[in-house]
Parts: sequence; C-alpha cells; structure tokens
Amino acid sequence: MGGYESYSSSSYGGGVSYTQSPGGFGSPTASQAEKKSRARAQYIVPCTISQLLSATLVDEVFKIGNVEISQVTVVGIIRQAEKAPTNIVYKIDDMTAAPMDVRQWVDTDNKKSLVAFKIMPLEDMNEFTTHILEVVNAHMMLSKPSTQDTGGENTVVPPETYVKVAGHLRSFQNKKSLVAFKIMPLEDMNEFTTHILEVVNAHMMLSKPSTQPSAGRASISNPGMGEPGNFSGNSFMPANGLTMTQNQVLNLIKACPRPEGLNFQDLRSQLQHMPIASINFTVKIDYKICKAYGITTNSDWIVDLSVAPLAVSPIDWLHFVLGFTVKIDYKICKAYGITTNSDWIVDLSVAPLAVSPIDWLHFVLGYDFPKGLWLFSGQLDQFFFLWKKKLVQRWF
Amino acid sequence: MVDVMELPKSRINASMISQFIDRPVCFVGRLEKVRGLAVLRSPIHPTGKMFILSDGEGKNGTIELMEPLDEEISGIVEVVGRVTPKATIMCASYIQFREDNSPFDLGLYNEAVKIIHEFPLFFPFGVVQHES
Repeated sequence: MGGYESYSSSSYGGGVSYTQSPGGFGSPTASQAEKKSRARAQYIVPCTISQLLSATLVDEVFKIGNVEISQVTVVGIIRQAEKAPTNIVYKIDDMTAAPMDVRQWVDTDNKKSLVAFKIMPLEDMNEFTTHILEVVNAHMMLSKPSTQDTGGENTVVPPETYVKVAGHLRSFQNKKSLVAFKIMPLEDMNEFTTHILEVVNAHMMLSKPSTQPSAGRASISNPGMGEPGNFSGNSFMPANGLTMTQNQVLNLIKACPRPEGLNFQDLRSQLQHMPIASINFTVKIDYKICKAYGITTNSDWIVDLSVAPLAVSPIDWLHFVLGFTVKIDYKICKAYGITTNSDWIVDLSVAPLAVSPIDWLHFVLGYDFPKGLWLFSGQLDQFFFLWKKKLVQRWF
Repeated sequence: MVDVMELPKSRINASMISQFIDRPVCFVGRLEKVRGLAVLRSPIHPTGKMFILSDGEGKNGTIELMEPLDEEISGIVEVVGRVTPKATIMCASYIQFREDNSPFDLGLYNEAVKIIHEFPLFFPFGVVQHES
C-alpha cells in the first residue's frame, strides 16, 4: 500500500506539501486565483458521497459545512462501469446516498503530459537528493506483487468491487461528480472500515473553528472581553472547558429554581457588567438535526444590530446551550463583514438549559430582536419548553 | 426492491435492526456455522432463502432473500436491503468481502458503525441541501 500513503487521511494533518490550484474550477483571473489558493483546502479529505452531494459551491470553493474541500477520497463499491474511448465512468456506491458518477480519464495517445497543481522552487537542494531516494523506495514498494493495481489505466475495474477513489469534486449544471486521479481496488477490506473512521475524524477536526486554516476564523474563536467585533483571548479556562464568563452565566441558570428557567431579562439584569454584542444575521437550524431531535421545521432567526459585542464566543455558547447545528446565512455574513459561513456543530451530550433558545441567541450573539419578533420569541419559548419535556410539536 | 440501491442505506448492526423497520440498511456480518448440541447447524436455511449473519458484537441478523442463493457463500458478507416488520433484512444485493490478503476485523467495523451513529453530522446518510 506504499504508493497510496499520499492519499490517506494522514495527509490532512498538515504533512501535505501541495495546494489545490484553482484551474479545476474554470480559470478565475490570476490575481483572484492567488488570493484564493491561500485559503484553498490543502488537504485530501476523506468523505462520504452524501457529504460530496451536500457540498455547496461558494466563490468557486466547495464546502461541506465549514470544511473546504477539493481533493477527496471516497471508498465504495462499483455498481456500474462504462468504458468510452477517452474515459471510464463508474457509478460508485458507498451506501450514504445514491451512487455517484466517477470519471477516470484514459490516456488515448502516447503523448503524456503533466498537469501540475503545484510548482515549487526548491528551497533546500537536499530535497532533490531526497526525491531520488524516495523514487527508488516508492517504486520498489509499489512493485511488490501484493500492491499492484489490477491493470493499466485502460483496464476497467469490474462492478461489485470495493475501491478507494481519490479525485476532485466537480459540479456541472447542478450535478456533482468526481474526477478520479486514482481508483484502487481494496486489497484489504479493513481499509474500508478505516475510511469510515477517517471520514468522521477528518470532518470533526476540520469543523472545529480553532483548527480552520481560513483567515476569518481566528477572530471569532477566542472568547474574552473586548471592543465591538474584537474578541481578544481570555486565557483562564476552568476545568469544565468553559471560560469564567461562561461559567458565571451557567451558574446563574443552574441556580434558578423555577422550572421555566431564566429569561433573558433576568440574566441581563444580573449580569449588567457584561457588554452585549450585536451582530445581525439569519440563523438557520440544520434540518437534519431538526429531524434527529424531533424539531419539525427549519427556523430562521433574524436578528437586529443594536447591541454591543458580547465577551463570549458565540460558537462556544451555541455549542453549550442549543444542542443543534446553527448555520449563518452567507449573504448576511458578507453584508456584516463575517468572513465565512459557520456551522456551529453542537455537542448533543450537554443537556439543554432551562432557557429559551431565542433568549440565548440574543444573549450570546448579542442582539435585540425587533419588536415584531417577540411574538416569534414567544412561540420559541413554548417550543423550547416542550422540547425539554420531549414533546416537540410543530411550532410554526 | 430496485429502488433501495438508489437510496441511502444506513450501516447498522444487529442491535439496531429493530429501530430501522422498513428502512434501507446495509448490514455486514459473518456467516458461520452455529453449534447446537452435538450438531453443527448451517447458518443458511435449507430453502436457500434465508441465512444468518453475526455482527461484530456477536449478535445475529436474519437475512431473507426473494430467490434462493445460487452459490455457496461464506465469510464476511455485506448485505444491502430493507428491514421487514419482522426485523429481518430483505436482501436486495450482497457481496462477500475478500479476505485473501488479510482477515477483516469485524469488531473494528462494529466500532465504526457505532461511531457513524454517534456522529451523524460527520458521516451523514442522505444528502442535505444547504443554501449557500
């Protein structure tokens, strides 16, 4: 399996030496391309077909949630193979969705060329020596009979074979497909299990705000006191993983004896020293989480911009409080200078608090709802109360 | 039954079968001979239309077929099908995992299945339409 190392998930940990060129998405201008290639996904990300089909294309970047992807691996079984003169099209099924088209180009003439995705002047000429040694090593290992491919690139892998595919995600006329640069029948079916684990691990790690490589992320991942829009670090972290501020709020809620819990006004009056943040955006609950937790509809919470920034990371709070994925509408993000969509994926093992989600969003994200939405808020209070009792009904 | 192949099929183990009644699933298990008293019982029913797979936790799932098996099957089998109201799986298609190079670690696969269900956000079944 030596030759496959570069396509394994260990690549995404940071050891990968290449970045994705923008060429594959249809040639933006050179300066745009340079700007974008910095933020581009630098990893080959193990994925499921359902994730690929769910990916959104924004500014020529594919994203699964807030994970940028370009080069991906999938593991699945070939359901169908069609050979054309210049390419082979497979339908690959990994059980997570309908089978996906995977196209593998075939070399039709003897003239070979290389499509470079990275050209890097050598900083250190010892890399040149290393390359020589690596070539010998790699080819020696790959030549061992057990690691051979089943045939040349013109050989079609038969249906009902489990394969690992490495390739680029493409979208054309709203239909997604994968252009494979490598299709390898699995020699060892444990690789299939490993892929499942790698997918979960990779997406979990890449979804965490603090591990994202993109530029806009750092400013919202640090809780702490600060001026509007500027969250500077608060380094003191009590043992439960929450900051002091967060713990103060949590303790207030826990101390409240009423079954309906605290409302925002109560909290606000008890925590008057905390500056309240204001950001205006639409918050949409991911419908899959809604389904899993019996919430029968997506909800858009539209918020007003009148309040000062909060000294708590919105991500941490939503994570702690709400128990579902919250997605910020991309257009609103742009309008208010938030540089990325964020899906806040919440730890479902934390029990919901006795506080209305709308009040919490208000408190955490720092905004006052316009008057018209208080009615809205009333409905959500009711929903939340019902939710705690696990009697979720349709709430609007 | 054909439509099952185009649908997302949740990977499950035997403990989960009853929670997936009428849903498309994918079940991986080992076909092995069952010891009963002094007699070795085949996990394949005499009619060839039913067989039993044991999952990574050692629990059994019953697989039913529309047509009798036309080949001898053994070892690790991956079944795709729909769970019946009787909590059996009506098989739409199956494959046998190759183990000529290395044995398949069914226990590890079982752990992966549990992880998939614990983290549906990172290993989704079915496509979610996000608005961009």
